[in-house]
Amino acid sequence: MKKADGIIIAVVLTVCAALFLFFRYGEQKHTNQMKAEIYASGRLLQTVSLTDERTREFVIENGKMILSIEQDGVAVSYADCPSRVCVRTGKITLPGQMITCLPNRVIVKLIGYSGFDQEVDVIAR
Amino acid sequence: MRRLLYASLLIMGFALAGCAARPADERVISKMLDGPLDTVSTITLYGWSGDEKPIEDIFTMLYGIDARMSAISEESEISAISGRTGTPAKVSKDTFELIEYAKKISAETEGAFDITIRPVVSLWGIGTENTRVPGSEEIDAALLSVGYEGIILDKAMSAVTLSKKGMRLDLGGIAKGFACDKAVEIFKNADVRHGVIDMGGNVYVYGLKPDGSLWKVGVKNPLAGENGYFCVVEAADRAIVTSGVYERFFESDGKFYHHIMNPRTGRPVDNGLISVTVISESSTQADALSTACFVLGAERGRRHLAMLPNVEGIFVADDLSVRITPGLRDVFNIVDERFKMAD
Repeated sequence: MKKADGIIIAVVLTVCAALFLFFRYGEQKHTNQMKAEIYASGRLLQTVSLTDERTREFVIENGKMILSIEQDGVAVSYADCPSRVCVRTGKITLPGQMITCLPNRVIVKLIGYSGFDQEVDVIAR
Repeated sequence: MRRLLYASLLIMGFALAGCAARPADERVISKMLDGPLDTVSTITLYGWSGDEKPIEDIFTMLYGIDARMSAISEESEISAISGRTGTPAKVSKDTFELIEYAKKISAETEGAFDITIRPVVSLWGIGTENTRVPGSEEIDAALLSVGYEGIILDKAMSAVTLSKKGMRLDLGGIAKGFACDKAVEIFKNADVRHGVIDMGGNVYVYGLKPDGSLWKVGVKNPLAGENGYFCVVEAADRAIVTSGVYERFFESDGKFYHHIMNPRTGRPVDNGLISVTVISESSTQADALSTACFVLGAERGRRHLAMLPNVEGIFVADDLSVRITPGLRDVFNIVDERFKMAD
């Protein structure tokens, strides 16, 4: 093995280790702070923390949608609208990104976490 | 050979990175319904292995209550009562019982909560396109049609009569609470063990959390947006209902007018409070009392709650001072430091 090979192997291993640490800790912290806001007809229906990691079904006035909520993002996995633009949008993963469903008048938006330290199960308004 | 080595190293690395993902935990079903009672209802079951029937049953119940008790729909029983002053209107058992309960709360709170406030609410039109500050004479005229004493109940006939001219009923301040209690009954009958009912911010936390701890309920922060909360209350098997000036309001000539009306004055309550939260085993009671205590003010409100078993309250004044009932001391925590305990 040449000296150059050793360097390349070291670089690749370092990159892998960095990637591992990033996914294990860095990204988790990042996703912990993200929430998905679900709007229907312009009204905020619900905010879901991405750490809750669950698939949710939403029956909204004139339609049905299934959101798959993962640690790193949100996607619409099913919608009963004809166009399915929202399904084709795929997974959104960054704060500010949106999925829009015009027929059902639904918007799913990712936001950076803006609350306080203590997470709550529900908010009385 | 070398390429193979690099490729396998890369694959190993990515596989290692991939291992960092956590598996999904227990099953949660959450469904949301937009429409009945003019609000969004979200029902969530935790650690639930059954089907979705409890949630479907709750949605059906919501449509039923909405059809009977809406003050807006002309087909509703409430509209039937309101439209015929002096003549008895026969209503369903649910509607009768709720009106009877509302009248009882009105009497107990010396009229601070009053389901006949509608003529005054319509006059101000807060939250509608016709919002305005009415003149004193108009307010006095509307007040002639307000007063829970004018509701005549005939239990044997399940009939309700409004005795004053122009009287109208509005169960908006109590119907969501009533529906929430009905949802709790459905949970009980279906053997649900852990769940959260959220009817437009009227919250009920059912059972304990699946891990055996108390639920953490945030109370809306009057200074923050839709999702902000200023305090956290830990609870189980409790309804948590908040009334706040931030729900509906308008400004005119530099003055702030909100939607919580004092049935005595016919004007928005002006006692320095910006939010009142009531925590109780009954959501119907919490719903009515959050409005009543807002009208009564922090001192009288707290005195009233102290007389009731297992009912607690949180009172927030416009200087961001917070008062709570003694039963909350160990389960109440302010998380926005702009708010301070008053005593």
